Amino acid sequence: MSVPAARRAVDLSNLRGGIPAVMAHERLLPVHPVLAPLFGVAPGDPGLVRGHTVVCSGSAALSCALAVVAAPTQVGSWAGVVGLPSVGVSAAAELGVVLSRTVFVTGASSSSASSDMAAVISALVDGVEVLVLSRQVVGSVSGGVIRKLHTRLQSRGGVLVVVDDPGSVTADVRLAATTTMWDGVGAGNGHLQRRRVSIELEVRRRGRPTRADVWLPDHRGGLSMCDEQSSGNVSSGNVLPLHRTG
Amino acid sequence: MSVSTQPPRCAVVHTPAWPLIAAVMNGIAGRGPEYAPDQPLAVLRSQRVYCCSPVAWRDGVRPGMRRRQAQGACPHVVLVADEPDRDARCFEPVARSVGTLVPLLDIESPGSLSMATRGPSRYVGGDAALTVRLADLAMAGLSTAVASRIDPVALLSTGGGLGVGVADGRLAATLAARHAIRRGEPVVVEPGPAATAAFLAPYPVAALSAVAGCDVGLVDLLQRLGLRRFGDVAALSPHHMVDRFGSLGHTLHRLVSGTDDTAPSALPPPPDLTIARLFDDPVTQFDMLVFAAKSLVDELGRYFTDCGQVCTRVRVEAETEHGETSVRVWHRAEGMNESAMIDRVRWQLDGWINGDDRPSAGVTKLVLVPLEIRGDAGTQEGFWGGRTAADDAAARAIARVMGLVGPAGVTVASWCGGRDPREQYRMVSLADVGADGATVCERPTGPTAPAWSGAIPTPSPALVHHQPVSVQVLDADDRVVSVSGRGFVSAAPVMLCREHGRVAVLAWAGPWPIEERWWDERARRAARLQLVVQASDGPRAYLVEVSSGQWWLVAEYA
Repeated sequence: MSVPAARRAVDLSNLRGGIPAVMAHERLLPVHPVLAPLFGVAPGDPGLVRGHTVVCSGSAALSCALAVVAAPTQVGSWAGVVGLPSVGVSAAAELGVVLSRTVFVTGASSSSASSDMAAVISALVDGVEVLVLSRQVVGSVSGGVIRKLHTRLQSRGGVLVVVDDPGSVTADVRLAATTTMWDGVGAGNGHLQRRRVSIELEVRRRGRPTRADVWLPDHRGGLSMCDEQSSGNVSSGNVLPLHRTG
Repeated sequence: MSVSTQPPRCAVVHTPAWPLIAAVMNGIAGRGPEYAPDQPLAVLRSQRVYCCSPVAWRDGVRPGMRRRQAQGACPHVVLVADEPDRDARCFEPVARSVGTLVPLLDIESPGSLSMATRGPSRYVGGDAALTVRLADLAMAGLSTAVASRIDPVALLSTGGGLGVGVADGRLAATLAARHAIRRGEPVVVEPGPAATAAFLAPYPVAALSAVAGCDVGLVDLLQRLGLRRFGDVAALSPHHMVDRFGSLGHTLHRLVSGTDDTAPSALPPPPDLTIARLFDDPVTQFDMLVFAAKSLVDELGRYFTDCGQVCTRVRVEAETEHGETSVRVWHRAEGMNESAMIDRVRWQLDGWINGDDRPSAGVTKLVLVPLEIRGDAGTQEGFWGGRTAADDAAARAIARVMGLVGPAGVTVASWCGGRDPREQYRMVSLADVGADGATVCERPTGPTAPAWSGAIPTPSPALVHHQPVSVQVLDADDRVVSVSGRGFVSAAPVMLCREHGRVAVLAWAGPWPIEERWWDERARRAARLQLVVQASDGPRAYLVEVSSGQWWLVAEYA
């Protein structure tokens, strides 16, 4: 039985009247204060739109993804990390990820079939607000699963973070993190202290990308803004290279 | 607080290895019920020997051994999987038989019963007479349950015998029952604080964890403090115990001196806490009953969680349409969380409905009555601390994922320290964290946090290879760089070779030698370097390690 289009439009508008209208950009998760300007919000304000898919790429993709995960876990959200058995937990902790609310799922990564992986992801998406997947995991499941996952995320209000661009997902937010330089090591002296990373953020259908230079990680392992004053060498005093004697 | 009331006099019937007896009663899988008592037998729990028969013990099988070790020690040992439901079902006839004399029984666990003796002793004419009657009744219950081919006495000896003890308080009575097994006759400890204290004094403090549900870590600490026996702890002043251990010290002192067997913080439960479910349609199916019980238990669990309390003793009552009832009191010294409580309800209902003396109609009423509550000392708070809606959703999702990939595949990170990025955090299965409330350790932070000497300073690598990748670090002449025993590199590294190509080294730092655990077989000598290499997409930083002349890529600063 077909309903006339005009009638249907009236019905729909009646239905919508009952639901308080919440725009997508009002359902937000917090972002790291340093990343906030990239997302177009003031530092401290939430800026990560629930239901979005964030794809991190470039040579600093993993650190960048961990920095995105950190802020939501600090306010009580749970994070699920699937298919990244070698993620550096210490680095995650230094970036501010709350480990007691971060679940690492590894069992199904290699041995089980892709259908199991799809089941794991869809079970996890119901419980965690931030889901971190590796490129291999995304590549191992079919496009239909990813589309369903996307729908589920939007209704649940979660965020999907993909480490390394698999090319097969539609990214709402693209974060390209490229290492510019490493600071702190010379020829046999010093130690790795901080990395200057150029982050380019592109939101789908939102015009030109925004760009910023950050220290990721900085000398304490965290994420900090890279302003011109601090771009000099962080180590104070003269570091003399060691020479072999005797 | 200093007023100490003598705990009520208690009798305990105890079988040390009930799972063995239950396994034999149930018929050992694949071997039929014809079990010869001289055959060594052991029950496995979590792939380790949980308990073993005296014959197996004589052949060298010990609790805690792995399956292979046990088979190595005694090749013809019969290994049976642990099954708590079976234990509880088989214990039901014994409980019922003892219940004909003493209706108010507390079941501590399948294989162990306790009861207050004040009424029964007067009825049968003294504690000594009571112990004899209890032993006879337990034996009679066992005989009715086993097939006629098995001799109940031989069966009992498989499980290490049966002991009956009477003393002031549950702890002393349990120890008396254990002592009775060794003596071969019931043990009655004279009433009064002095006699109880004298009886308890020679027991090792390890019994506290086995009998009173004290933390193993606490017992270990007591032992390291030189307090090896109950008497040593009881000899200390209670004030000193409180100074050192807080309220726990007070509890401990009362326990070991026999003046009390419940925590001083035990609270009388509010009278309206009884929780009941009436079924309009009588329920005959076991699964549906357990499902209904689960909702009751969850409701109780929520109440206790909100109050920060934990239930240590609960009465479970079920009634059928024809008025038949099953009433059992369950006790667990360390407190029952939801899953422990539902286990006990299930054991009781299973033993009743699927047992020999099954009810003739469907169940119409199910009642849970918490009898003893104490403040939750925080052990139960555990992992699911915040209890927000997000936490509940996460707990449900995690349970599902655990069902899909197995408990070992779902982990959280727990700090355990170390100088190697691979060993700083240990991945703990969420099943373990959830089950016994073990807390996830956080890395100590702040200016006073102790630092691991020899650890690589911050920042930490974002990608850690738990299986290190074999690489080569070459110098300008294409020779492999080596690190001498004094910690010097043979030449500056210039090139890093991985299996797919070589990259130029831009900068390097190190070497930082480590020499760990030289005193045992886990000894490790290595030296680490940080390398910044020129990759196709910009500089990349690696942590490499040389050990016995072989270079390994340990971590990447991704």
